[in-house]
Amino acid sequence: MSLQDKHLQTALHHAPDQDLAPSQSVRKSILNYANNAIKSAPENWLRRSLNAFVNWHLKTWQVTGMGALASMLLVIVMVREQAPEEPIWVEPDNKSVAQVEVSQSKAEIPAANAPEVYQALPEPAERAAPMREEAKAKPSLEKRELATQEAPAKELAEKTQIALAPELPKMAEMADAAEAVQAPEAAVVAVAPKPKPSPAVELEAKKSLSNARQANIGVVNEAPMSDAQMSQALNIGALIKQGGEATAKQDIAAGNLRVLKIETQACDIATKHQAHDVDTNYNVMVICDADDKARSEQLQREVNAYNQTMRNWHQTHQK
Amino acid sequence: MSDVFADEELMRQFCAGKANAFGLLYARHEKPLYRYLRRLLGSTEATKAEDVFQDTWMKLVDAKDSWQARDNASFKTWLYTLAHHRAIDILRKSGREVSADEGWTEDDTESPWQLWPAATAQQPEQQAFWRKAGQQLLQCLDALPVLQRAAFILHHDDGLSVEEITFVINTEFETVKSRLRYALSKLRMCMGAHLQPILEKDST
Repeated sequence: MSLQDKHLQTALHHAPDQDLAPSQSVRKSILNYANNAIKSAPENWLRRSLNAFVNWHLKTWQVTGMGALASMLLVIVMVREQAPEEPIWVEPDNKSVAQVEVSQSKAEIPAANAPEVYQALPEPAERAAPMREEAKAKPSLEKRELATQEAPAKELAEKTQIALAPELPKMAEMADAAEAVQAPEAAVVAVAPKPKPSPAVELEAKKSLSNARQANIGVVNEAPMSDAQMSQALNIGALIKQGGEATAKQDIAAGNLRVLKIETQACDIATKHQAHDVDTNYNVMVICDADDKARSEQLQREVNAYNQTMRNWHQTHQK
Repeated sequence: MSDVFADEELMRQFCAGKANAFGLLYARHEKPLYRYLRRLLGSTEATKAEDVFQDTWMKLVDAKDSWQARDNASFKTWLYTLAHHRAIDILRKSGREVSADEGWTEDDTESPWQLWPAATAQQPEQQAFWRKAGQQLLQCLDALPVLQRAAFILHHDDGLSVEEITFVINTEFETVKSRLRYALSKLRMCMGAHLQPILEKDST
């Protein structure tokens, strides 16, 4: 038996419902639904998320409250995360690292005079004040760097209170020749404490340190520069002239207890872990020196004498 | 364009974001699908045909992303499957018996429909006959069990093969065949009994 009956099929095709169709409203709603499905296809994930959220049956005031809370948290986090861009003056932490270096390009300085050309910030405490004022006057480290780079080296040396030893007659001339020296900027950078220096400042500091190495001599103080420490800045010329013992006694009388150390290479890195002397627990002031053997030997003797005087005093008075 | 592209191609275009393709698909299947639902739901549930029709198309739109996975069935089969199951749900909720297949003794000999005009006749009086026959057939369909009715309509009106019907009503091949046989026998009997007086009147 065939499963298809032509008579019944013909009767079916002539049935009165043959031309029936759904109403226009149904047709319109179906087509609109399809159109909307296509238009909103990229937003399906958003719609699903939204629907899931709405399905929590949250009331309007709950949603509003949560939104306000989230906004407040966001604002608080943003305010707290904002780093202080322009610290005017902050008392430096004794354990933070700051560097003071004075250097000069080796090519610009005659080798014979090189040892005494640069001296670390000298001892007078009053010289720290102008430096602090300068730091206050300048709004940011970046601006200070720019200003420093534009000024002649001699002027910068005056600003940063680099003491030119009176017994070195060619110092001024050499300072004139050292216009390209960037060490003064490093000094300024060092006295303006900053929680986290910008990459530009770090780069500039590294450049300065590199220049210092090339210039054979410099002083790196591993300890941060407080007011008291500013007054402890070492005058190498005076150290050599007066002798290590006398200088140490002066420092002891002034309350500047420290130990000196000479580094001939990589003093910026090697001294990072030598901030304090093991025996006395005094701060270690590192003197970067190289090449000039005659001067180095003399300097080493005076440094040894200085340190011995300090240690003797420590043993007799600090126990 | 609607005649150029197959249903499957139009559906792919719709899935790709072309709304016009859906419009063509809809226009192509609007009347046959609606008619199938009206006949399947019968006179008692005819008012729900529009709802089922609308639900079917919306379900199709929602499921368009899964269309690519349905390579084993044509678009038309898929569409009718969606519509069929929705209609069966309605009938079940209304308390109509859906699954029972009544037995039927086949008797092809000397049946009244063998006196009917040729099915291809185009003369006006024959057209009138077939319109009356069509009207009677709808009443006979109403008396058929739902799944026999579905198999008959899908096979005779919508042109689905037995294999496709097995997919739509989700049953075995042989079951579909037997349901078709039962449906034909019942309808022939029903139609013959009704049309016999008309034929006798016309012949006089």
